[in-house]
Amino acid sequence: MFDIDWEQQWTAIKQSFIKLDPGYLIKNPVLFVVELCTILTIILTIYPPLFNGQEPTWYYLTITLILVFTLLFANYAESLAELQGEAHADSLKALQVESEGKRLKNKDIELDEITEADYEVVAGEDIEKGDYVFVEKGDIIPRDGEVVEGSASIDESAITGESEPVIRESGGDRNSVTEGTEVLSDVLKIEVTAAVGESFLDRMIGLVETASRQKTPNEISMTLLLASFTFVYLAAVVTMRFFGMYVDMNVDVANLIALLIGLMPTTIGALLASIRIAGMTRVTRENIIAKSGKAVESAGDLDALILDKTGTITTGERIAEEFIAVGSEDNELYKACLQSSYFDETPEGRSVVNLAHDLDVDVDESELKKENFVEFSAKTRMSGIDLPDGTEVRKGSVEAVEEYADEIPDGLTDKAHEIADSGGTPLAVAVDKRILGLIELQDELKIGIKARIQELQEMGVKCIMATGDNERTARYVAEQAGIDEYYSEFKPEEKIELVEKIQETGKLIGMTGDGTNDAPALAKADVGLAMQAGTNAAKEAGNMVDLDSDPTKLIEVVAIGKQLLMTRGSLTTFSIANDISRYFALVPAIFSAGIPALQQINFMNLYSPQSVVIASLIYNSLIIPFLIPLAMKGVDYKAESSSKLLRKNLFLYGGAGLIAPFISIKLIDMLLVMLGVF
Amino acid sequence: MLNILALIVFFVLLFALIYLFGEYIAWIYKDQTKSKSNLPGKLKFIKKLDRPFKFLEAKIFLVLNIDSDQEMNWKQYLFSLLIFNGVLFIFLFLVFRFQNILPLNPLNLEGMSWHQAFHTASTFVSNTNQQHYAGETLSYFSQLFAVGLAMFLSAGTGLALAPAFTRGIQNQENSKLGNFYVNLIKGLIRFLLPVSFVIGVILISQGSPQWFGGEIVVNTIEGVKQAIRVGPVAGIEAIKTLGTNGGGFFAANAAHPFENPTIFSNMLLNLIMLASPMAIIYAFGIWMGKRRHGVILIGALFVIFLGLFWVTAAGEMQPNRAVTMAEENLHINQSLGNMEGKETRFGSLLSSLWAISTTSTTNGAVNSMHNSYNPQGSVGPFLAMAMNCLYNGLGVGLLNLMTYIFICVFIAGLMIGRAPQYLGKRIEWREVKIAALIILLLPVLVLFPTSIAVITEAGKEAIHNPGFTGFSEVLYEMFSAGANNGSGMEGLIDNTMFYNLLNGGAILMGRYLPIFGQLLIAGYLSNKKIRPETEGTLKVENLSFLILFVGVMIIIGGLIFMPALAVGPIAEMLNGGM
Repeated sequence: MFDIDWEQQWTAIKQSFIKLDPGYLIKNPVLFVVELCTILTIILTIYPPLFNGQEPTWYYLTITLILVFTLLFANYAESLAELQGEAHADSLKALQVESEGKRLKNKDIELDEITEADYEVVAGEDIEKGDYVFVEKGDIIPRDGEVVEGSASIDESAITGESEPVIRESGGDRNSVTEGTEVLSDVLKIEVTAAVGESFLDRMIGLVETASRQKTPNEISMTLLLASFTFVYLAAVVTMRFFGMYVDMNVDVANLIALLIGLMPTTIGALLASIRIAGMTRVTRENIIAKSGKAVESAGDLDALILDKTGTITTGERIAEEFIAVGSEDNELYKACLQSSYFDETPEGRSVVNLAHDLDVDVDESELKKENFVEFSAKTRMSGIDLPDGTEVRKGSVEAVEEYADEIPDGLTDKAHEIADSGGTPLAVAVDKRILGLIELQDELKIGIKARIQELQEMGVKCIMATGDNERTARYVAEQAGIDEYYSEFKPEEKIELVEKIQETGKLIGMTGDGTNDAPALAKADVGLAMQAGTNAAKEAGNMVDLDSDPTKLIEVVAIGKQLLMTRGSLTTFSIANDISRYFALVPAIFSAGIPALQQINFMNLYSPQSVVIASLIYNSLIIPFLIPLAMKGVDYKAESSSKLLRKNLFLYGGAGLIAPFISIKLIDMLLVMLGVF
Repeated sequence: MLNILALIVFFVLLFALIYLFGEYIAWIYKDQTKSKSNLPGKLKFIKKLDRPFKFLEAKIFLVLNIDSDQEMNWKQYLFSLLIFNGVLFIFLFLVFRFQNILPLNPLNLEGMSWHQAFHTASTFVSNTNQQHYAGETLSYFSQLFAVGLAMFLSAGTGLALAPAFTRGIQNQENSKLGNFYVNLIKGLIRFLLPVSFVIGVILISQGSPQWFGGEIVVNTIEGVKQAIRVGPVAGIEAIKTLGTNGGGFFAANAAHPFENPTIFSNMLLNLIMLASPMAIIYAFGIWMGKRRHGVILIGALFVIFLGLFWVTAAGEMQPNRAVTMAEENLHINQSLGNMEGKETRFGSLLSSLWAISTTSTTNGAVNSMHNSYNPQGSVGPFLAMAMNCLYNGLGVGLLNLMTYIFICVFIAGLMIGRAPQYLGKRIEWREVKIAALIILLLPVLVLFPTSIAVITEAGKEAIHNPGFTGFSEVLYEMFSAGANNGSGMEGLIDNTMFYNLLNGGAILMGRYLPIFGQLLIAGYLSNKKIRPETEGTLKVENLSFLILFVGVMIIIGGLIFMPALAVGPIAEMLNGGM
């Protein structure tokens, strides 16, 4: 837990000094004013008479040092957040190893005719956009491209972290291949679609880096607000010099600076950038590339999500739930089920075997020979096995098996409908053209999806399910997942209409997509999370890309976006609430020279005006590093209604903001006296 | 005990009056705000007034050639308002400058100097009514056709802004905010004129004069002749109070027995003074279909109001230290609190209530001498003005409130992890920027002029009280101008070119810059979509939001002035009240 990256710390510290450059700090008005104040105190240290300074030099020097540290802490917060963000981006960059590619001499050559003579092996950087390359088993894809011909399984774990290989094939939505991934089987002919340094990965890394450096619109509002508060306090403090002159009171400039620094929202001003960068980094940690900070904030603000059924709400794999004998013995059916699926490598087939094992079904394994396995074919729409004695065991869709069988047992159709009504898919099993019964396949809900959807709905984010399945299945799954709005027999092209329809009502909408036909909707949606496994068009259109290609992560993104906004709001409240203490501590201390009676407000019984000023400045400076972990991690976030969230955060951070400075300033004051400073 | 009872009765009556005025004003502008709320059953009878009013309005529109169906966007609305106010300003300036050659001047009063005419015209056109002249130096023509007219028209201008701003939030991607002239005339015909008339009649029944006799000359028991000025006092007093104006017919303002003859008239005027700006905020809730929201907003400010009232009343119930010390050998009974500068018919409690009421709105009428308040007592009015007069002016009070609301919504929205949104409208950087600039304006308009006044000879010449008291007076004057309040702490010789120009400028900026900004915000908002409310959107009707709002109001509004106040009234207070 305490594995500190010393090198990173050292770089962050170095950068804290580099960032003292006023040209850089001017982007943050609060810190810029702090810097101007520091310059003033430096002048006062060197030449006190300039502003009629009456305090000793060590006092001015101390104030200068504390102010410099305040700035350094603020810069450190930002640098650290940046470095942590870059660290993740660098880990992506490391994937870009020196590569070679097999460039085709003739673009028109058919895939199965390619021989060694048809390509030349060139260095990765020599391959140009528009070239055609050939890859085969064991090759690394040299550059981003689109599959022109062929189909192959590819290991994309280097990018996605997902060990399961994926299929990439020409045409359709799975034709894009990414630089740095490895071909596991088969061969592909690929058209290179990216120039050197422009590959998807390059651009992603670039995007993350630039995106996290740019202020989001919401942060710009916050900066404006903080700048205007700063100006107000500046006016209040600067004019005090004149008021003091009128009542014959020389208010020391250094003390006025201390008051200004105390009143200004320095805490939030110092942490604003790191809150943003850390929020973006949290997104990157989820293996999601956000193309802008705005997209992340929009995610926190979504009113509705369009969720695909398959892959998002359900696992997309149909699993055998039950064997239902119709007009036969259970044992007989169970055996047939196991036999028919024994060599079936599809997930459905595996699940039938698993269920059979769970039911302790016994078969004579010597009877089952791999060469007798009958593969699924589009023509028969059945698969199965032929036993040595010539018995045909078959399973397939109910219609297909009904066609194949000699007769249809009573109750089969009813049972099949029942299964369909509960969202399942029935398969029929027959032995020698006699139907024994059904296998009920169920599309499984993803683990925890129901709770997540409920959380979202509690937060006021409506979940809408869209599926190409029929009405019955859609309704069943929606009910199971706790979704009240769903669209069945939904075509991907209709997504754009749905997005627009929801946006008409003023709602912000988020969605996921991977296909080319999802692209318009992804672009139109306020948050479009594209899947890395999807087409380039989809990835271009979305404002986020999920490297793991897990659409459920849209929900994660909503949480991160909310947390980012909440952290910013809560620390602002904290910072503003801090002000109250300054009026009771600093105002009496600073003016007590001219108006001794003001000491009556000093109910904290602080030692001396000088000690109060120093204590208050030290608090201001130390609170920044103290809050860095919170800014980086984000405030605690639980899915709750808006009223509860407001109450919790207002009382927690507003309350802490009220009390913390009183206690801290008193403690620092006591400590300073104890140490003999005063 | 009797005091507490009187206060309870007062506040019950106040809320009843807010309800009545609020529902009534909401009804007046039902169409103009595209409101869907109706009058509550008990008040349905008001609808009967619609026909005569409509008839009258139609005639006026016809005569003035106003197309009541033609709606304006924010720019056109602002432009109409500025043109209208500009013409009024020039008219006022000329009348005050040349009242000596104008009719209805039986006492042959002089015209004002150009800078005083500038200040007086600025102050009346902007509904501020800061008076650098004694009321007695104005001719009847000036009182009636300049002051009286301006009191109606400036209040009407403010009132006409409320429905336009509401439209900004109510509109679904539509830039039209309504017609300025229609809103102005409807406000005058249906609210300001008839209600003023009723108040005027009640005041006459209490003894306020309403005639043009010039002076009554009487022989006093001491055998000298005394000339007593009279005039159309009751009518001016009515609109002065209803329209958050506050400029008195007499220099003594509402302490004068002709302006405010009895304790009954005092209660009535105090109620009206608070009820009219508060009612607009309640009406806003009605227009938005959220009466509860209006109540919450009034309530939030009322919490601050009560706090300030407590500070001032507690201060004024104390004996006057100066009297105690100066008259050690005399036995002056100070059991009634500090009675210096107060009318015996009102006493210190009701005077405190009035003082906070008049500074919690932009009214600025006074019924006691704020300069004679104990320092603790004077902190209340200072802080009320520091929060830009809490309920602020008729109509503009709603706009002022919204400025703070936007800042709160922005912070609260973030705290719940949402992009900030208020009543379905997103609050983005443009709105926040303008709201922040408006909030910035008051400190600028108060602190910088005060600095100029206390370091220049021209400014210091006018100060006649020493030390902190003198400083307080200057600061008060600047607050009164910048926040468009208009009351005076007095003691300052303010009818000089320096103060006339400085205050006049601050008054105009304090009035028109926020109006400009807030209409711009309304313009931005009107073009946005309304996002429907869900579980996740910010609820502006709960206690947490109320606490945040009060907190922001106090920290961003009031406490910013704490260092300045420390040199003024707070220093006085802690120095033993001298």
